[in-house]
Amino acid sequence: MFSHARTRTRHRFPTPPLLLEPFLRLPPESSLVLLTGTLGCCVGWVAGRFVGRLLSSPYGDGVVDGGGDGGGSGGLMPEGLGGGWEGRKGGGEGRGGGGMSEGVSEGVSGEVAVVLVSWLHDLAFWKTELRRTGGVDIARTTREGKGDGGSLELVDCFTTTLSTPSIPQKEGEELMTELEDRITAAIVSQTQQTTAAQKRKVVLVLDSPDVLLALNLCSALELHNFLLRLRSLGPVHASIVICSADLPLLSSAAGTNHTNHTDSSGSERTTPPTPLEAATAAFVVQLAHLAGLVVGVRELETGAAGDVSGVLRVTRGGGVYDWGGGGGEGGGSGDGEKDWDDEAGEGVEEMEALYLVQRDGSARVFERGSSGI
Amino acid sequence: MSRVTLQHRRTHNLLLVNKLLSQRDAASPFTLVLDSLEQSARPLISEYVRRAKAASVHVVFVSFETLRKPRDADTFISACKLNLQAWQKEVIEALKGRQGQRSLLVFDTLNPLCATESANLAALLSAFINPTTSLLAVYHQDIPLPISASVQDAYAPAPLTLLKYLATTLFTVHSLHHVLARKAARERSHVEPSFGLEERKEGLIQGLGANGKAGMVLEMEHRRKSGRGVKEWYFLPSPPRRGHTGTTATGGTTPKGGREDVMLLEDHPLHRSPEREAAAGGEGDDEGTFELGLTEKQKRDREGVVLPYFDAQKGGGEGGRILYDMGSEDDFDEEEDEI
Repeated sequence: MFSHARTRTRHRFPTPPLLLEPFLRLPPESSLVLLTGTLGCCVGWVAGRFVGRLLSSPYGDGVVDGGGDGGGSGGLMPEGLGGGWEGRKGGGEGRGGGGMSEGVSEGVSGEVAVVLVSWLHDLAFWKTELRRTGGVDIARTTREGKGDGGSLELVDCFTTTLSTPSIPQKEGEELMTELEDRITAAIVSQTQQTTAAQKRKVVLVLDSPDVLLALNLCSALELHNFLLRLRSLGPVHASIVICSADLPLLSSAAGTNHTNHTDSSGSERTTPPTPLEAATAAFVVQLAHLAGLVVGVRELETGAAGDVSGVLRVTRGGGVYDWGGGGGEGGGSGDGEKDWDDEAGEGVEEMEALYLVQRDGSARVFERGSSGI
Repeated sequence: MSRVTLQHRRTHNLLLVNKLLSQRDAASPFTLVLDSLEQSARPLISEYVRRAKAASVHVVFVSFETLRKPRDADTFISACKLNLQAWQKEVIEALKGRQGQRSLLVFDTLNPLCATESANLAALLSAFINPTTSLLAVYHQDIPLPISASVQDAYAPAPLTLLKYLATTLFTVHSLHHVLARKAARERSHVEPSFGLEERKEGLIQGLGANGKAGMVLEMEHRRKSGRGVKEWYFLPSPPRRGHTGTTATGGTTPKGGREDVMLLEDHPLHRSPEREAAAGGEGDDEGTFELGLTEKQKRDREGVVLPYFDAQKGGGEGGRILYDMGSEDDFDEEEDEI
């Protein structure tokens, strides 16, 4: 029954768009990927594809078959299941804390657990979004306690924390500590389920942590340190952060960059930026400085079109450079490390293309000028 | 500007930048690197650290945003997890007890410090600097300061202004692609393009061409002890990729010591402009289809030629005479030629 379900899922897994494909890989260790969207353009479909790709086996069909064996033994593993439920209980009261685990180690290096922390969307949104775009069925995996190759845990900070009536009385610091504890618990529970010697790599996906700035719960610097603490946890392999990059949120950053364009920008801005504008801009720009890969979606500048949803731009963030400098001297220490530009191929290539996301979640990414079909 | 002056400036400024990058003779006690999203300062910092390692300088890396210890750093202090006193103490510990050995103290970003400690930034940083320790710090130009901080000390100078004033060397890094695009626009008298956040487009964070692979452009301002400033633009090529040097070392295409080094921006092949070279006096030798200049041998030969006129002056008053030295290829004719 399990294998049957899995086969069905595998068939339903939407193939990622060809142009986007090279970027949807497991990021290098301790790296950061920044996905930015705007009000008119949601970047959720890229995130969904990323998660779907990480959870599915990235090593081809042979490994997926290996996953079948793992799935067979997965039924005999109540620990894994229990861990998942425990994580869910720890994930807070209410309907939001959706914890699920596969509890199966395939014995294949590259098995990935995804911990998705969502501030802006609830479980229902991600359920739909991940099924539509990533081919990951949260409901089924929760019910059966099984995933498709990796495991996914959703820490819902939207419904359980931010809308609970008791929160506003709480101090921001307390809330931040509570959030950190919850996320840490979710990450740790992912590694505890691993039974094999192979360490499971946890990819942390944070959906709109900048909401915390808007709620005035912490400053940009505190939030930045909060993320650094989470990212530096032992099991966390890499992180993906989803942020909004609307113009009003970033305009105060553009004003600080003194080039020969200060005149035009100075005339545009007559009032000093508000604290929220400055904080959000500082946070997002700081993230982009650290990210190796910056994927941004935005609307067409020429207005809405029926056959184009928006523009997708992939650029090299400041984190794309390896600190080591490639001197080649630290051969011993640098063996296990992979960096953006060390990957096979030519490293991160920047790209700008148009995309179209359809109602069923299928997406096409195509060059400007070529038709989307 | 004559060619000799240009050549002199080139030699001088290349020596200067190499001296700065290697931190020889405590050339610059406080180096400030200003970067932006369009070009990260990381390759420059890596170059500093690499050279420091080669010269067995003790590198203390104070991290406010970096998770992993850089390969060539000797001491790594993650200051983002500590409070001010704690990491200050660690830095002092790390610098202490290294009598005689020079140290390089690297801050991967000063923005958090500027946000929280803007009032005593100068005292904080200069406390670390001494004759054997130099300071290298990065400041991200496009990160705005929190509003509350700037209201608090409305009459104090902005942290960036203060840092620029304190720095003995100021590097502003630019993306090569953007510099070339701006130059191309300037030469056509077009409006210079802007990139990334400056484009002010909804949803745009980085411009295309940001953090290019080929290398980066450095805008240097070095203040000498006398107070005179030296300004120059350089191009710093990217180091060869590690996979090709350390492990495989294929065919010696990129040997360890033989990497391309920092050069003047105007010497970069993509940045050279023909008019400037013409003004500099025949530097565009490779541009034409024929040779206008002289080789050294040709010059020497030309010097050696004695013109008949000079010889005639010496003799004086003997009347007209043809002075001619017979060459081996000359065919002497008794009837026509007489000497």
